[in-house]
Amino acid sequence: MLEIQDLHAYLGHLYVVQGVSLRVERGDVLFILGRNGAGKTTFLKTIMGFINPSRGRIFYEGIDITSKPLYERARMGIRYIPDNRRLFPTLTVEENLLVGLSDIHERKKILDRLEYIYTVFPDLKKLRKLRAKQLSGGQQQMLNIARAIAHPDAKLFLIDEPTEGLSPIYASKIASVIQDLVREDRGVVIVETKPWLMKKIGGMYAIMNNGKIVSQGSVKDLMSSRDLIERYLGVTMS
Amino acid sequence: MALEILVSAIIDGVALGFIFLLLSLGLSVIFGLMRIVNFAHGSMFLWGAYIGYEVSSRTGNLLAGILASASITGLMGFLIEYLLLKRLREPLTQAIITIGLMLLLDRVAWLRWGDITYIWLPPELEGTILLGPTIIYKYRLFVIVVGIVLLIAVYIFFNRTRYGMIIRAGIDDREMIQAFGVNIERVFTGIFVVGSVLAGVAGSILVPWQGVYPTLGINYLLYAFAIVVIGGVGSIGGTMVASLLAGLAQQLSAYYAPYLAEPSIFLLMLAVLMLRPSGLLRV
Ligand SMILES: Nc1ncnc2c1ncn2[C@@H]1O[C@H](COP(=O)(O)OP(=O)(O)OP(=O)(O)O)[C@@H](O)[C@H]1O
Ligand SMILES: [Mg+2]
Repeated sequence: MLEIQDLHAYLGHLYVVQGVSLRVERGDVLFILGRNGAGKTTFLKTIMGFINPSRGRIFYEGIDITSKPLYERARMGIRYIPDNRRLFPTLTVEENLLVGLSDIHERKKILDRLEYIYTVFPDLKKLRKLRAKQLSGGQQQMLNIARAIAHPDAKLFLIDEPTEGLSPIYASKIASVIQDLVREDRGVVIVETKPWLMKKIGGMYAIMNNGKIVSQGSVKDLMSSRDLIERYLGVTMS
Repeated sequence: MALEILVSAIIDGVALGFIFLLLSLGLSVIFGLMRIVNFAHGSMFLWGAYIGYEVSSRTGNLLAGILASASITGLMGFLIEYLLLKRLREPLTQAIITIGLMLLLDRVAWLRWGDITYIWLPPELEGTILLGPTIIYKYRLFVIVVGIVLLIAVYIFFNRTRYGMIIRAGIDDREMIQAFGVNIERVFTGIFVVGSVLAGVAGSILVPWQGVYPTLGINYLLYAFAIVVIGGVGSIGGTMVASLLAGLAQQLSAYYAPYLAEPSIFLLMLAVLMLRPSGLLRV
């Protein structure tokens, strides 16, 4: 469903994404790994359309979206879940969810989707009248994810470090939400380095170093290679 | 005696406050969402006032004048945003373009209408009514009624409609809102047109009370800038509160200390900024 061909992107004058090619099919999870500053966030933002690539092509469901604006990519079903959350702080929790549903005009359908989100995240139902800025960090991250999966037609999720700084309870909640997305045959590209979470979800990995993919394969293979893990994840396996 | 004057001053202040609100709301939202400091906003007010005067004095119908102002300033707003501002992304360039437009539009109005002050009051709203010992001008009461209706409409628009919600979300983060499928360029055009219409309507409502003269636009533009700062830049609720406070400040000083009427809104601004540097409702 997603095919990236030789993608290059700059942040100002800084050459960050330096020729990345990848494929993700429906029901796939692709873990992007790499050290701080490797270019992972920039890569996701370029796929979403926040940053224009200097070279290369992005195909989504067979359509070349390289020059489509951000909002059109969103309408085609791509969602970006930023690591710094970027909720709408003065809007209520429920309004944050409704923003993601604003192209749906049938009231019934909107209420159904809210109900669905509230069964996935029961806490958000209790908090729905609060402003997003009043939530705790963990609650904000739930809302960040909920807002992106709210739309029934969202098909490809670009998720940046969703469990960073969260307690294990929240992190395992997020892992199971991602598993559900995969079961429903959606595509997921995720920047995440927690080995337990990778094992739980499975799928493919790609390691990015200085803006290039230096290694890729299945998560299973990665987990059996102590050398790769220590070199690129900065995790010591005991 | 003293109480009657106070009641009159408060009624006038609230009436003026609603006119300020119509004018400032567009300025505030255009800045909050589009990050454009729109110096041409006062010219919409001025043109709204002249058109309102022309049409209502000829037809004898105030509403006809208000609707004509709304249509023409809406069209002007559309052309300015769509043909000019959309092509210029640099904030300083946009601001300077709006200064140029202000000079041009105010000049054209002066060429057409000259230095005369025009005023036209619908006969049915002429005169005063007595509330006990207090004399109340009918038209100012009318402005308050219209103001309350519009205030409720604006409140519903921002808090109960999908478009209002998208505008508030866009003020929070105008890049992220696009990641949920919102075509922000269309929202920009829409909000600029609505802001211009509100300014034009405000101008046409002011005419029967204070008349229209060549420097009306720039005078009220400066008030509106002060009001937006008092309320907290980009805060819709703040602009509402600040408009009423500014109307009261100006009319109370007009009654009790006329030499302070002109600078009163700026004194209010200084006082508010001393206590809350980012305005009333911005945290
Ligand atoms: N706004 C910016 N302007 C210029 N350079 C930036 C900007 N943001 C990030 N960078 C730099 O661009 C490079 C890539 O950043 P990016 O955020 O894509 O990396 P990342 O792999 O997501 O890192 P992290 O693990 O820290 O999130 C880094 O060297 C970073 O310092
Ligand atoms: Mg990052």
